[in-house]
Amino acid sequence: MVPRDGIGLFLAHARKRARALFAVRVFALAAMGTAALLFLMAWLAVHTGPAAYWPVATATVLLVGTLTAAFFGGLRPWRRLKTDTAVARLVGAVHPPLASDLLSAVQLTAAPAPGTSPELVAALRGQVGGAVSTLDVRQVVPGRSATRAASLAGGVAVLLAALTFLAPNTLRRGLGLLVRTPTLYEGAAVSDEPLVGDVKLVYTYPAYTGLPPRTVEGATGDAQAIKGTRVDLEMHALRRARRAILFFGDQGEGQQIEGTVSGTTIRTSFVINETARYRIWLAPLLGRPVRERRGHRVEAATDLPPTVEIKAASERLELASPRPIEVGYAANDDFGLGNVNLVFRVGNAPEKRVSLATPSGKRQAQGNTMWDPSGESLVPGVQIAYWIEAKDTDTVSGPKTGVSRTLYLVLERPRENTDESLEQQKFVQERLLGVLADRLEAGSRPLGETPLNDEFTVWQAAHDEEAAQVALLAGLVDEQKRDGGASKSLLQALSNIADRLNKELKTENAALRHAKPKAQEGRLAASDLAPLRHLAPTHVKMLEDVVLVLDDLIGRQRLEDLAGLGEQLTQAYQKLTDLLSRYQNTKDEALREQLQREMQALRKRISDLAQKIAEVKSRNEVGSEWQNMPDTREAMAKAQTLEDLLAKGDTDSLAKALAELGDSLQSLKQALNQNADEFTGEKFSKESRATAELTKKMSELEGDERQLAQDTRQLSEELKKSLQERQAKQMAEKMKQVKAQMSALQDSLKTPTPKRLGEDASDSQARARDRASSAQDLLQRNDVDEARKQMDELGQSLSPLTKMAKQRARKDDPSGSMGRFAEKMTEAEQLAQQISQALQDMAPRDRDVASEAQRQQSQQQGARQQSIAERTRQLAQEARDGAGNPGFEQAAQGLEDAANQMGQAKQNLQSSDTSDALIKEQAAADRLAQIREGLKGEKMARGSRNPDPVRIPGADDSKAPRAWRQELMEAMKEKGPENFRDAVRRYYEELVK
Amino acid sequence: MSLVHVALWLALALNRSPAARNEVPAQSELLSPEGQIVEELFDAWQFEEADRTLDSLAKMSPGAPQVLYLQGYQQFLQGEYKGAIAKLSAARQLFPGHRNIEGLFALSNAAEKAIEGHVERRSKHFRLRFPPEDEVLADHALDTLEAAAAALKADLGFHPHYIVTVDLYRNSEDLAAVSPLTEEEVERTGTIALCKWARLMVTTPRALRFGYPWMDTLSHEFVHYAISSLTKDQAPVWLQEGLAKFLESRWRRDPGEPLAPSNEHLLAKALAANKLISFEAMHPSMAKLPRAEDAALAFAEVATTIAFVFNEGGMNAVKAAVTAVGQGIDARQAVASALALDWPTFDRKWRAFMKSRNFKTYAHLEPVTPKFRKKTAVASKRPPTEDEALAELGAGQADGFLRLGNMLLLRNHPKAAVIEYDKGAKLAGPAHWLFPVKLGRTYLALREPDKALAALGELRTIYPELPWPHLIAGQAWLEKGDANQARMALEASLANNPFDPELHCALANTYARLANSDSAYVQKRDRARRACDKR
Repeated sequence: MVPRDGIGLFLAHARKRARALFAVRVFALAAMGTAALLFLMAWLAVHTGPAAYWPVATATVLLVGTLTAAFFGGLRPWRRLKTDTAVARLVGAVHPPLASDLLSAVQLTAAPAPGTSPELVAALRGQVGGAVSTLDVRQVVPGRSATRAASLAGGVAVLLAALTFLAPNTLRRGLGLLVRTPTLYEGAAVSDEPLVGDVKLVYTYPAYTGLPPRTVEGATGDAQAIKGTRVDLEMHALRRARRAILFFGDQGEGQQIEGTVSGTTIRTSFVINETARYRIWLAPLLGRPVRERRGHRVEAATDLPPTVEIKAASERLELASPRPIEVGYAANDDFGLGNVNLVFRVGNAPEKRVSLATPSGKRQAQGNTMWDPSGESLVPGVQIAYWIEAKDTDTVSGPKTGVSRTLYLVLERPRENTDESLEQQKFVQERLLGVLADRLEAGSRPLGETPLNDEFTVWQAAHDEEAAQVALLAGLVDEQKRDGGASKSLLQALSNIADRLNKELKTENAALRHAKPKAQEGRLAASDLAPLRHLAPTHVKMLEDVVLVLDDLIGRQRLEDLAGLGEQLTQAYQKLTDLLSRYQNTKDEALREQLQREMQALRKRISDLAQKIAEVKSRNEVGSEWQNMPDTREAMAKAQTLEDLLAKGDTDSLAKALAELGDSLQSLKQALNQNADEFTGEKFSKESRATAELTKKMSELEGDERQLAQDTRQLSEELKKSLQERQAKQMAEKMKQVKAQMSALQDSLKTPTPKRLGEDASDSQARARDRASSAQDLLQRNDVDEARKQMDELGQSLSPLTKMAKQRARKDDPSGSMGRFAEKMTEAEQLAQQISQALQDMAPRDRDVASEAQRQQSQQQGARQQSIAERTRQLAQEARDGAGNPGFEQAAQGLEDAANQMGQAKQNLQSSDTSDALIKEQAAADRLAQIREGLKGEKMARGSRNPDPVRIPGADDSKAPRAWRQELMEAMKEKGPENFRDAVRRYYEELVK
Repeated sequence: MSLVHVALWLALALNRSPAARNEVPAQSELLSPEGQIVEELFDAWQFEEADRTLDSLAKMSPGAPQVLYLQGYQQFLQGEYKGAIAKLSAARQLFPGHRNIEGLFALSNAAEKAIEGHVERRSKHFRLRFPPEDEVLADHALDTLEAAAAALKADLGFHPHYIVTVDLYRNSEDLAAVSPLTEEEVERTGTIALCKWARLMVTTPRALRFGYPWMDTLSHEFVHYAISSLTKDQAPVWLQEGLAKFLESRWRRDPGEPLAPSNEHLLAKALAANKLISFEAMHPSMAKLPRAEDAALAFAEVATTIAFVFNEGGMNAVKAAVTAVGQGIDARQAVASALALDWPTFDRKWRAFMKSRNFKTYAHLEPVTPKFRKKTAVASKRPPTEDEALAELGAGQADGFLRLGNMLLLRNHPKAAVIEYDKGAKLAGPAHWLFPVKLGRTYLALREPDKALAALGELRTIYPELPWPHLIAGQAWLEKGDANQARMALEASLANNPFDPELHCALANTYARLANSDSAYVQKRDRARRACDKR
């Protein structure tokens, strides 16, 4: 054991420092080397791709680096500096003056030579010990090499950090590849050439679509179908394989589907759930697996939600009272419709639904419904939003809902509005009557009987009062116009009154202005008042007219208002009848309570009517002859009896009591209606005559149009027969021709896509091939219409490709492969158009089969139609000229519509399209009937209850003859006969316009 | 016309089922000879004798079908419809499908239905059934009828055996339902009352636009009742109507009232044009004449016939003629014989009599014929007002002035209203009576009774059947303080339209003034006051 003296301590310190410095240097260099190597490997991995050897190599590098560092930086220095002698030599090498003495002292101490005096050794140790004690260990064991190594490592680290900063993803990816074992996909070699050929796809569509399976031969492997479709693939492997897998996803990260390999045939299947790509991976019998570089596109077509259209009389209907509303709807879905509902929301209440149709998978549903919102608890002013909702039958993603635009129905506040407006009119009338009295009395007194100034004051006051009333009336008209509820004829009448009076007032004002200064100065002469007296008779006559007109207008509104209330009562009764019937069938307590509420409401209404009647009488607003109102007491008593019976639970007697009440209410209504009608007939006889005249002329037009329609029908039926015969002959021949064209089209589409056009071009061409193949299948099933659609779509999708190919060919390769490809695509596009046209021509029109005589007949009918249309336009003008009469303006518009329909019918007839003409003729006749009916119920009072439904203007325009319509509907259901398909399509196109 | 004929006629008119008509057994199977006698007595208004015979028959075979039928007939004639229906129902059970039973059963039901909800009030000889809203006329009606009964007893010696049933109907529809006339015939001819099956069937004056002389009409129908009884229903229509017309005013005055101007006017025109209605054309009923004006002319003619008899032979001659007809003598012969003349002489003298009366035409007279109000007006239970006449008058442009006048008057501008009415009156001409009426009212509002009377002018004389000129005149006289003149005018108004509350108030005031000197007016005053207070 070496003594722990100065030398011993010095050497121990030196050993420790030396070992540490070795470790630092070696580990720094090792780390630097390993890191640099790993970076290098990562770079290589990025470029070579995933490989199984990368993790091995990485592990090896790390292990070697670590072991090397441990050996050279740890073990080896430790062992080398284990003895004091080695340390002394190391120190001596750095500090030569001490080398000999220190080494001697260490050696002599460790192994004294025989005969060496211990004292001398001790003395030497002491001397050397003294010498080393002055030395700094850092000087004798310098750290320069360690520092250099560390600096070098730091520099490399900075370099690598810079690289990391510059390409972090690459580095990350590379490092990832170094440590990850690759998948089958990643591990496969990539082939630029196809691995399979003769691909056959069989599409099995989801059951809800109702589509039959479809097979596509010679496909590229691309698949396009609705979500949920199962695709069965069968393909021929172009190289021998023991295993085949379809890898989905750009990097094979999606699902992988194992195929069954039988010889060179590979079979597999997958379900299309989303748009993706897949690649075929084949494992050869020996060697590295291989996969395709280019993937096959799988396109998940979206099952779109139904498209829904709604049609009503107006976007926003404002009704005086709840009335049935005609709502038209048309819903289409790409695969099949579920329920079609009318949805409505009263105010902020929850939505309610009325089922309109359950098409059970049909693609189209359309119709008109008469929706009666009166069953709801409606308060005046409430807004009802309504729309059509259609669901599809998608069981894969869940039913999707399509909704139409939202329409609104607003229930006016008729009672308040009518009352308020009438009060104002009445106020004006009363004031004007006062003015009339003043003017009459003033004018009847001999000039001079009253002091002149007093007389002037009377004229001035009457003038001012009258002017105030004119202003009030004008304001009322403006308000009503803004409000939008008053009838146009009423507003026009009130405006006329204001205008006429205003004119008189202006003339009078000049005379007053002239006399006023003199009156103020008290020097008024009789001659100054003479102009006023001169104007008085004309003015009085005007006032008399105005007061009487106002009186008639007010009376009419009042009586129509009462008649409206009577109508409401019978409607309420109808509702009661329905409720009672339901209650008697179900004995539902809720229904009984509803009945009770309705009865109370009915009694309230009767009471309101009684009060109104009493008011009309007491105000003397109509002449005594029109005050002959029915007595409401009987109805009230019967309503009370009914309510008592219900309270007692005497359901057996309810029906009889209700019937009695019904009779009573009916007679009330009739009496009120009769009163209002007779009043209008007598007081507005000019208007009534004009209406009667217009109605009569419309009846004549309607009769002529219906007669024409009858003649056209006969001709149309003759033509239809000829058409069917001709169709049967031509069909087979045309179909043969189309199939030949189809074959040529498919050949053109097989032309390989030049790689220069890119993957998208290849995809477009593949899709076109699929469509051609699909169209051929459809033709085999005689689905001409669908086949034609496929052809149209094919043409549209091919057009950009053709254009692109032509551009490239012009630029690069006019006579080479690109030029040939462009030529083939152009040819394919043209063929598609020809096939589409041929398919369209398979359903010939009337004109194609009409004989010369039939053409002439049709022409003659066209001339007749033109004449009727001209008369209709003339009548529309007459109605427009008489727009002051209630309903004339609407009638004019309706007549124009009818005339337009007649114009279209005329054109159809001129080109011998009798079936189309017939539809238009009937629609025109129906429109005339509709206007005629509308004129009958035209009322002036906004509170009048019109029980008629609010129909869609011209809703019947597309109404085909019943038999024809039925035929079409059947044709839709049965998907044939083909000769009707086009007609059906056109019909529905018309419907949704 | 016998009941059987009427029943058959009605059955045919109502288009009864062919089965019912085909399966009817012969009449003889129902009635025994005694039974037939009873039926004939009922048909001939010989109720006393018929009742006696029926009683004996009923004692012999009570409950027999013919007895039930005849008892039903008896009750029907007595106005006991429910009792009649019960008896006839029993008879129908025992003798189903017999046309007499069926016809009478239908009539009884119709009669019962027409008075559903009516109120009954009786006097010594009469039973009046009326709609509750017409209560105001009930006492006046019974007073009139009793007065008529007293007069006829004095003139013709008639005394009714049964309490006479008087049914007052709400409208023409009800009258048609219980009579052999159709509603169209009723409205076209202005038929307002009938006397048949021992009862007076009268339409309320409320159902007519201007009301009508309902008191005289009640009396008129009661004269028919008397003549039918006295002549065993053998008097022809012309005689019936002549007597009824001549005697209808007997309840209120001595015989010999001059013709009303409208009748006089028509008769004068007919005489001048030699277009009198023949007696034959009046058969079977005046109501079957084509126009209301023809009926009015016919009434005027026959009234002058009886007036001629009365003029020549007094009431005894009239009574003698009636008695002779009752004895089966031809009516023409009976009438001529009553004056100891043959018919041609009678006819010549009668025509000379008419000419001697110098009947005059009235230049602007528009004969007032009964016009029914609209059904809604009647259903409203409002009394008729003069304004309802507006449409009837057809005053054209003058309508406007009338309406303006009304409006101004209602809003307390009477002076202005006068101006408007004046304008209307000038435009419409003298034929339109409504403007004078309106002017009269307006002057009353202005408290200018003299002007009111002046405005009315000759209206009361020319149109005595209009209630409003009388009313306005009465109010004007009252305003002037002449209660006697007022009473006469107001009572004339009452006799045409008893539903105007103003009338009763004016009457109450008038009677009140008269009662101070004559206690006979106390009861009338109180009655009028009650009616006035019900406004």
